[in-house]
Formats: sequence, structure tokens, C-alpha cells
Amino acid sequence: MERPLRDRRWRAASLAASLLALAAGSSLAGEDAAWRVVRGDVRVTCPMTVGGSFEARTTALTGTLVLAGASRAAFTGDLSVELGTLDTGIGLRDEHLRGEYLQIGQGEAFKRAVLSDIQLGDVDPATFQGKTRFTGVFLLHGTKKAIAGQATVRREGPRVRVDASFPLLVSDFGIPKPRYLGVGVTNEVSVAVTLVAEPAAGVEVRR
Amino acid sequence: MRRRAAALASLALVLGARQALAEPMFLSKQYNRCTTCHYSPTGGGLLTPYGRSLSRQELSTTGRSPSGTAPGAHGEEAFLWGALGDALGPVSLGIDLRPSHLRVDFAGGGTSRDFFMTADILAAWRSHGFTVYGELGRQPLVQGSKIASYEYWVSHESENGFGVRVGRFLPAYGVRLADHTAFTRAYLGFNYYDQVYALEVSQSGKSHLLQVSVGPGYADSAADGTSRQSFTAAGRFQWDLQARSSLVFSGLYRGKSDFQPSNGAAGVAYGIAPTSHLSIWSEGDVQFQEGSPGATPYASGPGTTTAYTLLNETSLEVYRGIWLKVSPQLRTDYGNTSGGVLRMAFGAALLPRTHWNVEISYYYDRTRVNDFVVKTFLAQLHMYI
Repeated sequence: MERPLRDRRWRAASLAASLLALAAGSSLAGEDAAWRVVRGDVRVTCPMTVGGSFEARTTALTGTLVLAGASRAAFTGDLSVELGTLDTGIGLRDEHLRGEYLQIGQGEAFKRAVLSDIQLGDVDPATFQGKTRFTGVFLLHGTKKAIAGQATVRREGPRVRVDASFPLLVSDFGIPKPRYLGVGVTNEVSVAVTLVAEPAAGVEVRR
Repeated sequence: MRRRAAALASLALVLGARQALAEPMFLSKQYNRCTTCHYSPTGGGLLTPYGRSLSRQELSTTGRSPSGTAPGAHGEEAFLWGALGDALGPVSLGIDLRPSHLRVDFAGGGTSRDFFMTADILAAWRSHGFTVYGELGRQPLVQGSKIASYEYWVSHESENGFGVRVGRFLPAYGVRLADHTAFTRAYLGFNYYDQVYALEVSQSGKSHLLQVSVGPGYADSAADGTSRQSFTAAGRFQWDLQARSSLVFSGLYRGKSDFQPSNGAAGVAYGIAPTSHLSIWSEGDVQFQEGSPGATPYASGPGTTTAYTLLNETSLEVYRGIWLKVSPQLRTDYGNTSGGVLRMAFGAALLPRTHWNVEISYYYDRTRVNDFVVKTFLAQLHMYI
């Protein structure tokens, strides 16, 4: 029995809609997930040559990270810190840090520290929570170097909280040896970052 | 009569001692080691060039040079305002003067005195990890004064943080508060000129500092063979939890002498600076000595008796170079936790300009068993040139 024309048209429309939906679904599944930093705290612990240490601190952390693929936790985008906002608690130390050592007046590549090409360890980016190693490329003092550290990821509702830390060598970045009137900073300092990120608006986030 | 004696003892406590100048309140500025600003690993005394620079650039109300023109080692803050330039080389010099006014009041009497709390010349030579340090000054006594040196030593610190020091110095114990009359210093004998001869070894890392010293005890006694001489050992471990918080464990042992039975102490101190203008230090010590409660401190006997000391010092920088301090303190008697002395100490430190400080202190001491009160007012003009 031949189907009525209206019924055939209806089925064809339904099939087309289904294909479109499938196509749309495929597109969403392949969409890169993006996370934008909404709150951050960066602490650079600087051990002193006479013993003890001080912290340089800022909350001026910004950036968006985009998950680059479904199979591994690699991100495009970057995290950026305005170095002019680093605060050590006393003015003279701030002046020396920004002016004589980080030399932020020398240009754009000196004004910010930027962490990019971030890749977590062997984890499922869709569901991962807990501790993992990570690697990245760090721009500081106009010089890029690979870094590696530890990160702890926690999901808090739609947001994600990350506590990460990594060491770096001052000499790797061509920074003048920090020393003033016999008191200096050791070559290895450590960076600790705490950030809260949320899905970037307008971009579907894969779960 | 006994009360008057107690009040005079308070007077002697202030006179027969010295201000250390070490300032644990600078934990709020993220300085948790004495050696950043002082030559002595146990704090106080001659400032390093860095310490002098800090005293001008960050601590004084009006001394700071315009932004971007921070001076080197020979600015206003240097010895004699930098008049000698580079002539001293690796030698640092300092002149420390403290004309002071002291008033002690108590029920039925009081006394006052104007005197030099400190009038010292200090010197240090430092090169390739070696430091040679010495001081010479006028020491006020209850009757008159004398010229003498209370601190001189030689030390070496390697690049890996291992240090050795030998000479006459204050052993490391607890928190070296600037106020030498603080109960955590005074009752341990860490307030008098009579510091110890000792050998000290230390190990310093980015988050810890260990200092251990042993020696023949009170220096003046060791030198002249008088009865206070006794083996003395002290140890201190500082753990810097963060840049603005530290935990300190301490121990002290003094062997028996003709002056006192064997005795010692163990203590814990904790310092935290919630902001860059506020620091809070607390210390608790248990002191013990051989002998039964009630025995004179000069007589030993079976058993051990203990006394306790609790102290808090909270310092607030209300404006650049203006610090207010409050310090509740408790000291019990040996074997009697209901006895002893309660103190409320209030202080203000004004640092208007490099080399010039004004320090005002008020102490309200109440003896717990009889409510006898001693009020002490101390004003000092501190010139560090």
C-alpha cells in the first residue's frame, strides 16, 4: 500500500531534522571547552640568602583556557599575571622587584608573566578531580621556558578550582641576580597559583 | 620594706639591662630572621647595611627617598650619615645612644632617674662568610656606671647555611623581644649585660633555623671565676610556616653553681602577621629548677620545682613609622601557680626619621598574692648613628 504523500513528506522532514540534529550534535561534541578565570591568587615565595623567605603576591590573574582535544588534557589559551601588581609588603622591595629585576618597563613581554601550552598528566579532562602533574611554557622577563609542576583540581558546581605550584630558576629567565646590600634571593623560587574558573559564556562545555 | 625592695628590684631590672633593638614585630614586613638586619644571629646590636637601609626606607615616617632613587650603602642611613663614603670597606660601625627617663611608682613611694640606658660603640667586619663583632659601652648600674664590653664574637657561615660562632653573646632562646624586661627574657636571665661565653653551631634553611650553644655560662663569672659560673646549654629551632608566620621551640639548661641550683626552661613561641601592619607573638615557657618549692633559689635539694611564663605581644603600625604595642604577661612563682606577677605593658615606638626613634613604655605590674602594684614609665630617645 502506498503511503499518502503527506505522510512521505512528513517522514522525509523528520529524517532531515534527525540528520541535522545529529550533525549539530557532532559539532557540539567536537566543540572546544573553555574556562575563564574569575578569581586568582598568585604567590611567589622567594627564599633569601640569609635564610627565611618573603612572598610576592597578586590577585591580578586573568586568562581563558580552551581544551584542545577530547583524548588528552591539553589546553590552548593562557594565564596571565600583571607583574606590576606584585606586592611584597614593603615599598623598597616592590620597587627593586619590579624595576631592577623583572624590569617591567622594558616592554610588553616584561610586563606580564604568561603560562601557556598547559597540559595535565594522563587524566580524563571531562571528569578529572585530584592531583596531577602538569607542564607548560612560561614567559617571564621576555624569555620563554618550559616548566613543570603539581596541580590539584576540584570541581565546585559549574566551576573548577585549581591549586598549582611550580619552581623556577631566576637565572633561566635572564633576570639579574637579586641582591641588595648583602641580602639576596636564592636562584630557585616557587610559584603557587590558586584560581577559580567557570565555563566561558557562549561556549558549550563538554562534561 | 619588702615592697620597697620589690620596687627597687624593678628599677634595677630596667637599669641593669639593655635594650636589644631586635624587632620581632617586623614579621609583618615578612622578615622572619634577625640576620636580615642584624649581624648577630640572635638579633639586636649593630645593623647590617641592609638593616640601615630598611630603617630609612621602610621604617621611618619621613626618611624614605623618592621612588626610584633608593640609595646604596652610603645614604642618610649610613654611619655618620654616609660622610665616610667607602672608606670603611667591609667594616661597619655604629653609635647607639639612649638617653632615658625612668619613673617607678608604688604604694607609699616612688623614684625616678634620668640616665643613658645605652651608650655604645659597635663594630663588625664581614668578608667571605666570616664576621668579627664587638661592642664597647657605658653600662648603667644602680650605683654609678662602668665601661665594658658585653658582646664580642667571631663567626663563620657557609653558603649551605651551616654556621659556627664563638665568643660572648646572648644565647638563642625563644623570641628576642626588643623589651628586655619582658618576662620571657628577664626571668631567664636574658636581660642583663652578663651574657654567656659559648660556642654556637647553627643550620639555616629557607624555612628553618636551628641554633645550639654550649659554654661555661655567665661571661663575667667565667672571666673572674666567681660563683655564678656554670655549664650552660641552649637550643632553639625556628620553623617558618609561611613568610608571615613562624613557630619557635626552645630549650635551656644551666648547671648548678654557688649562686643557683641547676635549672632550665623549655618554651614554645608562635608569631603571625595577618597583615603587613600587624604582628602577634605569643610565647609560653616552663622553667624548672632543682629543689623543693619554697626553697631559696640559692639552695638545691631533692626534686624539681617549676614556674610558668606566658606572654603575648601585639604590635600595630597605625601609620608609617608609628607602632603601638600591648603585651599582657604572666609569671608564676616556683611551685605556686597562684603566685607571681601579672603585667600589662603598653608601648609606642615612633620612628620619625632615620637614626632617631622615640620609645615610650608603661608597665603595670601586680603581685598576685598581695595585690602590690608597681607602675613603671620609661621614655627613651634612641639615636642610632
